[in-house]
Amino acid sequence: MKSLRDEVNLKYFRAQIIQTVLFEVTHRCPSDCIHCLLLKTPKDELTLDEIENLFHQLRDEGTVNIGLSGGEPFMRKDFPEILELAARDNFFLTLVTTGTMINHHEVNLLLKSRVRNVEISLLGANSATHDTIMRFSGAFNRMIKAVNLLRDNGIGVLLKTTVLRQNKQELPAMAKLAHELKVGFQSNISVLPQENGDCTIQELALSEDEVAGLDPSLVYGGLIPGENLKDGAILACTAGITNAGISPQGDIFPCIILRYKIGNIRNRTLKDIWHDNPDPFLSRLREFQEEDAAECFNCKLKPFCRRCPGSVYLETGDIGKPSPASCVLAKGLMRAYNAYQRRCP
Amino acid sequence: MVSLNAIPLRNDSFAVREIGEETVFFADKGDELHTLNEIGAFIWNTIDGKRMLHEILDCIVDEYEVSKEIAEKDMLHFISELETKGIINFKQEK
Repeated sequence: MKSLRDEVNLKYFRAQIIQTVLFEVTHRCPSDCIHCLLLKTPKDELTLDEIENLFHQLRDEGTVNIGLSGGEPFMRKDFPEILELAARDNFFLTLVTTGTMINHHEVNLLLKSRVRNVEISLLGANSATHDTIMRFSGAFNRMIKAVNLLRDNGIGVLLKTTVLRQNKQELPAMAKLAHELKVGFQSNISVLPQENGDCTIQELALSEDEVAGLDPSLVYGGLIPGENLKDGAILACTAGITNAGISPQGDIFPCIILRYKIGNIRNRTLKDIWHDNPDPFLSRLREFQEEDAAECFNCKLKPFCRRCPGSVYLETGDIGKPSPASCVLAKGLMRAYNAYQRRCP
Repeated sequence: MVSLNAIPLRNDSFAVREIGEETVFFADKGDELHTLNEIGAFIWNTIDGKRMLHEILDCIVDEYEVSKEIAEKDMLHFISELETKGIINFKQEK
């Protein structure tokens, strides 16, 4: 029997109402992560008035969840006001941050705006690795201080890592650190191309052999035999249906990873972009079925693969194709999983 | 029993969204969620932090073809449910 939540989610899906948005409030950042997909963008960020109008439109659309991301959101001097505007429209807020600019004052702002969760990048188990990948000296110590402050004030914290060649040895130690800090931990082994489709930074991703050497219980939500494999490759998803992404300049995307600009909030209303006159790409995306990703649909690696329409689009420009980078990682992950199964039958 | 002079106040920790013909209340924490039908949504929309319950009752009687007696009983039941769920609370009575 369906729960009330399932029924409501179905309503959102059928009516193609945006339920969740990730809004990059700025691309400015004190860090300069070696694997960042963002390019340096112009500074004509949405103004506070424009953001207020955007939030009203999202509220009227039916949107409930907003992730405020960057860059580093606190790089905007008016970020406290943005938080206040979002709280006024009663969104449920998640902050995605480097954790390098959070002190007592910022924690109080987050509490006041009813921010539920904070997701923080963790790129090493110590300052040497973390700071080197972030290219920001002192980032690790600042982040640890922020985690302690947030946790002690009852805000949920999730440490998220991207496993790269530079930090792969520290994956167990990063998981241990999160456990010791009493916060959540999530790892990801995919490195996305840059937003212009340049795949050069994917060279930072692990090779098949390196992935095969990982402990699969520490990857994604923990790939343990008999569990979690249902969360395999995403061939079709809710991007462009109940999910959207918004750039600092007001570009609207079907999702923050699937960075195809379907309109800009500065010259069209959200309703016009999303419902009344959708871009043909958006219409195609909404009709896209799993079977349309023909090569991936019957692939034996599917349970181990984390390709998604967004990552494939960035890599190949076609949401129906396989993701070359994901294929490599999936092969390694299947080997890691099988080896784990042999060790722990 | 709550007095008709009580002033109901909305609890801002719920995100309230109109989805089709339903009004959905998303709770701030956890997965709690409630929906209202058209009449429930009408009553919700009259709760502005100023109106007393007897004024809300007048709005209902003006809008719907229903006797004041039945409307009062139904409204108080509904208001009591909202209060139990923490969706509203009350300002001091006048």
